[in-house]
Amino acid sequence: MSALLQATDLRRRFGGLMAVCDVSIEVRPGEIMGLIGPNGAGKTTFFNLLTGMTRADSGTVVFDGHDVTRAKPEAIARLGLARTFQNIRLFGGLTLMDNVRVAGRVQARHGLLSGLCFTPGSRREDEAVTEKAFDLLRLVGLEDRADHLAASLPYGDRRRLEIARALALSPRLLLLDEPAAGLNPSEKLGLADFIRAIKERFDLTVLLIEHNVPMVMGLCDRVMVLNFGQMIAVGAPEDVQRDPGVIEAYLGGDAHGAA
Amino acid sequence: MDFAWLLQSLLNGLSIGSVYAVFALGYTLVFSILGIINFAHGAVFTLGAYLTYALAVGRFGINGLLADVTMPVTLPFVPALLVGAVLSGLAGMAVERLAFKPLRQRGADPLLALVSSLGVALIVVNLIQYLVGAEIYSFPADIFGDLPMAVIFQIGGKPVAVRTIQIILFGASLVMLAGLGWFIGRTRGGKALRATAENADTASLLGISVNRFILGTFFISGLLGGLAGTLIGVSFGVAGPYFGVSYGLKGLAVIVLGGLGSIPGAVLGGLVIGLGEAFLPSDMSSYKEAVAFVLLFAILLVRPQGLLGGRLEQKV
Repeated sequence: MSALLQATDLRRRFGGLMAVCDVSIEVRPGEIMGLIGPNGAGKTTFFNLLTGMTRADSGTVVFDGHDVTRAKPEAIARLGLARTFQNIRLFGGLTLMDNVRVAGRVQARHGLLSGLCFTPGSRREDEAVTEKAFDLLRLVGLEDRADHLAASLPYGDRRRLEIARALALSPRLLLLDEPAAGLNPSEKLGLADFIRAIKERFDLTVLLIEHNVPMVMGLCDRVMVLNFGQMIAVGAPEDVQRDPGVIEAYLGGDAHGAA
Repeated sequence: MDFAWLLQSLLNGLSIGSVYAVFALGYTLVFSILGIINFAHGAVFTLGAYLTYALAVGRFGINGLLADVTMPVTLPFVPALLVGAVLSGLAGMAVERLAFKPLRQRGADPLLALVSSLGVALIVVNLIQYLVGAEIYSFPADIFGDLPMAVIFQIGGKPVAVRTIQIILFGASLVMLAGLGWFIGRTRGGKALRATAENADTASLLGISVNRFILGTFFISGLLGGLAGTLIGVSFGVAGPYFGVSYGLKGLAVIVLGGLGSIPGAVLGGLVIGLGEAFLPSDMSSYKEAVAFVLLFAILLVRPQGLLGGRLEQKV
């Protein structure tokens, strides 16, 4: 099967720092792929390149058959690539419901002033978006707080809301940036099951950055490893775990300078 | 200090203050989405007044390039006001395209847009002077048709005048404020706008076309500015191409006093300054222009963030 996402020789430099250096990777439809590496390895920059938030110096990104190397973030999002953030970015001044509905509105056909509800078509669409948003809130167990402001949520719930909001885009590929960060042990355990469940239910492909090694090993079909911006390994979790270069990156002296 | 005077001042203050609020909201909308002041807003205010004048009266003045040119058709006041406001909204969009977007897309320091918007403002003002001259325009007294100029009530043996224009100022402002409040608070477009204002990067990752929303914001901002310019122009006359400068400064005082970026703050700030001016004793009325800034300093001493300003959110 052809790749859903294909990055080829992707490179980005920040001043003297080579944040991502000639990384090539294929993400296949339906897989859960892990992205690991020491702090400062370029993982989040790699996500930013894929989503159009950061421009690549060279290389290409092809998503679902479209060359999105120079595309705007909103165009990439509409093609079905959604992400969450390591430092959660909700719209604190909007309710939970509106956080999800705002993302859902890109499916709208009625443009900038959609939701003005002047036509039966736009009203029906508005209702459909609301219904879908409510379903997503129920999925993450936040439906009883749909009217609360997102800023009022405790930390663990914010992560779940951010995932619900990403799902409102009806993505084909979901990028999760450290979804387990800051969660307590029981929440972490539930998270792996939750990711598997939404993958099945929404027919997703998942690429996730994670530091929690047991979770990555248990959850992911394949794992890629970045170190100093370079991809040093990719493959099945158990193979990557035995790779000498990976062990060196995590335990060797060089890694300490990379933080 | 009698009751009739209080009532008259309250009426004057509320009607003019509500127009200040409408005008200042134009600054607030752009500020909340871009984090900068659009200095061309005062020029759009002036432009709106001239456009409505041309549409309603059909003439362009007596010594500019367009002197002696007459419009083939004239509109009644209300349609002229609406068309003038929409044209001002389009002018607002042009300001975004000329002064803001080119700099933003090249990653320039946002503060540079202050200078470029000031430049656009000067060009607009000079263009107006070139085209229609510098004299003061007054809307004709019969602009509202058969409506009386004012209705006089006797309160405790003293007269209180309710001018027709005051009712129109207050009514039009209330409609605009309510419409804007409904759009921002209730509709999905308004919520996407708030999301964009809170974090444009995140909004774009959720598929929201940030540039289209910014353009739409400038349209609404220009619409509010042009409408306010017309209302003030009808009330006091259009005092030449530089008409918008002092109102532009007053509008800045309104938004800082109310709290930068706060929509309720802009409304409250407009009303406070309008009432402050109206309650100024008549022998001090030549100092009216100073009232806004005296109030501003007094309130900032107590509340540096403005009346309804929240904490300043730092974007990471």
